[in-house]
Amino acid sequence: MRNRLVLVLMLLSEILCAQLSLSNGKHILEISGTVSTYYNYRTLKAGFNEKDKNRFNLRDAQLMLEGRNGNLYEYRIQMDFADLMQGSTDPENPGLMDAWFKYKGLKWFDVQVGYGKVAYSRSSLVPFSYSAYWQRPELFRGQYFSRRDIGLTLSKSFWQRRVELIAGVYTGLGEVSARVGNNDASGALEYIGRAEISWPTYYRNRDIDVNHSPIPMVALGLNGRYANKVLPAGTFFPTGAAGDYGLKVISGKKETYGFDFSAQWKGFSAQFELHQIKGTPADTNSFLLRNYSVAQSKGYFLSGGYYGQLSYFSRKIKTAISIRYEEYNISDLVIGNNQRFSMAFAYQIDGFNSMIKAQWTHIMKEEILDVNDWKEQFRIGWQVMF
Amino acid sequence: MKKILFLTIVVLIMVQCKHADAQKLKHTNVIHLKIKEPSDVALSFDKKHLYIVSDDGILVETDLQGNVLRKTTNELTDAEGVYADETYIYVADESPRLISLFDVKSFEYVKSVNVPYSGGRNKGFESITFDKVRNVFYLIVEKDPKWLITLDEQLRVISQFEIHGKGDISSATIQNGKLWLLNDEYREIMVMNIDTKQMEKRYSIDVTNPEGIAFLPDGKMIVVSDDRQLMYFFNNPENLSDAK
Repeated sequence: MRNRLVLVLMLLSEILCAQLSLSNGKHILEISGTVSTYYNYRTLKAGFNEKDKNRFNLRDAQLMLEGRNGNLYEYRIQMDFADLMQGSTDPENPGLMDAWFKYKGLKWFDVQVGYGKVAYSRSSLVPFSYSAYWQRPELFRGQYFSRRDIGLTLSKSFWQRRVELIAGVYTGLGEVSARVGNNDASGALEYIGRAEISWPTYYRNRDIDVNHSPIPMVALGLNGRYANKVLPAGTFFPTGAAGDYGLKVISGKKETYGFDFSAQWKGFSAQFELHQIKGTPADTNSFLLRNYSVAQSKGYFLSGGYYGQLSYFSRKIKTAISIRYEEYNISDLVIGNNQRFSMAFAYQIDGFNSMIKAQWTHIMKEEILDVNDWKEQFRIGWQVMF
Repeated sequence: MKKILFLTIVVLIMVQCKHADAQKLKHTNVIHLKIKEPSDVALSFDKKHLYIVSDDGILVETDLQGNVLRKTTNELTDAEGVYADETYIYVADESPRLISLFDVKSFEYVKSVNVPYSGGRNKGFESITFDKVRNVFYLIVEKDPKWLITLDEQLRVISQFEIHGKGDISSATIQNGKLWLLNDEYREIMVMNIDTKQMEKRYSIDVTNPEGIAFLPDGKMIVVSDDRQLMYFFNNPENLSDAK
């Protein structure tokens, strides 16, 4: 039986074929999707005994419709039925992932309208299916800043796509924007911008150097976002909009900025990102100022952190090996920070189309604002893209 | 458990042994192209020009050193393959599944022929070339799966053959009766015996994102890099092999 299973894994590389499309010669519609399931196991800290996270999880049941009509219009609708079924608004893995169209008929920039990923942080922009990991770094899981929103995005690339500029304006409620429809009572919007330069050639949003670049390639990105949402007295943000730590949207001014760096050469790849949030609550008694007086806190708090990741892809054994270290702080007004170390293996049965991934995460340190009942987490599962 | 490990190791070794190391080629010259994202290249029928297509949907005529002479506009969407005979330039337009014909003399668009294919939008036709011995066109599907589609002279599908093996196919050309296939992901050139469909030789090249291959009248081989917008010149690998 076991031998048969191994043989099936090997033979699947000859069976799986990604994506199907329909075309009338001008308009082409592509149908694709991803299904992935993993088993999760946690080792709990002493004194804790709820093992409900030791389970199989249907992470993805995605269907994507992506089209192009001539040279002018592109569009994408992407849903994850696993999350829709659970009623999940998990910003790392929401039910509605994309619903936008792009107009490419203007000379100076392309215009994208609708709901989708916002151009902030390279790590957030890398499609999950192209990662060796089962989970993104904590900073990029949508609890510190949104990863998706509804709005208008302008983009332009220069110099053989080695320079890319993206700027947009959004409702500012992140993934919740698609669920609630309305803005919060402040009516204010969020503004996001990103500039990326790569050398010596265009650098795709990928973490693993599966093609073993014959020349060293690097990419540097600068990101910024700004919102000043001041809620009228007695009003609140929609449920879930502020995230687990109340940081994602605040009543007041929120400025977020950061940079990311990525490099790859001959199968080796490295990523590093650093981000900082400066939050200035409108209400000086806000819980975000942690009971400090204005004189002590100067009326604002800082949050953010960094992560670094090193990977190697072996073509001979079709496997990616990766290690990751992350350090982040929910608030500088509370002593302590969080540190995590992770390791991942990804064996490609048929490239990214069929990949077995395993991830181990170890909590090295945690701050009082984010105390978990576990210290180690192990995930192993299989993703198939069709 | 031991049986699984043993079987896995055996299969991995077998997979590795299937592919002997490719002979490495070094380029003799490289030039910068003033063409955005060049995705294929072909020699003109009179052997005096090159035709280069771009992901931007543009067909360009250049001299043999890649200097731009003429350009088309607005007739193509995602041009990925090109071939030319004495009358027409044939361009494989990947996304809309079209082969578009342009007049060699006037450089004007003539017509398009739809070749239905239901694979991924960006996993469609990557190259087109013509076999003068068999009087058929070959249309290459990039990956998932890699198809060698045979068309008659009226561009009607006759048959299709799946090319197995690692990576993708980004370009194809015929030289001395053999089908030369470019593998972008593994940066390799594979030489196929058209009768047996077997790969007879493999060469590796250090070219980032190689998307087009052609041979010049003097026998030199050229390869264009899409991402780097460069054209590399190589001595004819067949001569190198003969010399050994």
